[in-house]
Order: sequence, then C-alpha cells, then structure tokens
Amino acid sequence: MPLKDNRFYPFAALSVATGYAWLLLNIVINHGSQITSPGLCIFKSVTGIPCPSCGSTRSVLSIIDGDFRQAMLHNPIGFILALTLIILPLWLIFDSVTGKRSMQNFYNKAELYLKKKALIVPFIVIILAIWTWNILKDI
Amino acid sequence: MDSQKVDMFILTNGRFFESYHLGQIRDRLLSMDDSKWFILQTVQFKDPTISLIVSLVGGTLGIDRFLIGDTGLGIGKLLTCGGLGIWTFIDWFLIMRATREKNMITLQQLLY
Repeated sequence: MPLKDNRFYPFAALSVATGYAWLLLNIVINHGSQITSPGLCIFKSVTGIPCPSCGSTRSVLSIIDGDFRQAMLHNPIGFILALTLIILPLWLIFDSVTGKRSMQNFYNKAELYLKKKALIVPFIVIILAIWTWNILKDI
Repeated sequence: MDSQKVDMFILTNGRFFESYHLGQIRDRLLSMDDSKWFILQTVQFKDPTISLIVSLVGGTLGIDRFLIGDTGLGIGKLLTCGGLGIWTFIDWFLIMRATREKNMITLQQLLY
C-alpha cells in the first residue's frame, strides 16, 4: 500500500537529507584514517552479528574515492545507496519544479511490482547472500 | 445489517482499528446488506501488538514494514540498516497506528 499522499515528499526529502548528513559526518570523522564507523546499527550492537547492510557507509565512501573494487568488498548494497543518493535529489527537484508527482507514482507502481514472487524471492536470496558474506568477513 | 451483529463485530475486532474509525465503521456496517456478514467474518486483520513485537525484534531489518504490507518502506529500511537506527526507533512508536490504518484500508475495500 502506498504512503499517504501528503507525507511522501517530506519523507523522501528528509531521508535524502539524513543520508547526506550521515555521509558528510563520516567523511569528516574518518575519511583517510583508520578509525572505524561510529556504529549506529542496533542489530550489530545487540547481537554482535553484522546486519545485511553493515559496511555500506564504508562502501559509499570507497565509491567517492573511486575505489569500486574496495566498495564491492565492503558491501555491494553501497552501490544501490550511492545511486539512490544521486538520483533521488534530482528527481525531487524535478518534481518540485514541474509540480508533477512522478516519483510518488513510480514508487506506488514499483511497490505493487515488488510484491510479485518472481521479484521478491531473488531479492531475498541476494540479501541473504550478502548477509552471509558480511558475517563471514566479520565486517 | 443487524445492530447486534455489528456490535459483535466491533467487540471482537475493535482492537484492530483506531478508535476514531469505529463510529464510521459502525454506521457503514449498519447500512450494509446482511449477505456481506459472512465475508466480513472471514477478513483477516493484522494484530497491532504482533507488529510491535516484530518491530522491536526485527525493526532494523525492516521486517515490521514488510509484515504490514509496506514493501517499499521495508526495503528502504533493510538497505539503510533501519534508517541508521533512527527510523527503527521512530517506528517502535508508529507501527501500531500504521497497522491499524492498514486494517482500515483492508476493511474499506470491503465496505465501499
């Protein structure tokens, strides 16, 4: 089911802003040094096991450095997040300038599409694979 | 529909909805045809308490959002480590209400 109409764009904008703020914070704190990420992950703090998306901040930072191999080794999800962080603000600006709701319409359609078994099963398998890899390399 | 039946429905299923929805549901059910009673009985609603438990346990992985049918938000939560933990925390407070509103949407598809 879609998000409520009036909440979609504020939420998207807030997410993008938080994403960039987090990235900037990480660049300031530990770019180029050996200090590890502050570690916000509740799952990792509680269980000691990394979650599927642990390491994606490091991955995005590696992408900014241009080191795609290292980014892949940290966490492949970083590529998706980096892409989202590039596309989403542009899309938000496009929608706010033209007054269309193309992003929301796309989201609603994509969500219906994602509920199909043919898509959600491979997605779960990929996530589980990444998760297993994360646990094995103890990120 | 018989007011006794409607009250029985409200009594057994009231906890699945926001309190301000109940009046509207009652009015609507009273004006409805009796033949829909059986279908109404078979509709499955999501328990807000269960989704809160799931949110507390698996909120970082977005399982709570997947559970109530918000697949898009679930994926968003999963890929961002529960929205950097902030979203996970906020959802502990929002998920029960979100579940009740999902239930209302489910019921509305039957009512209208």
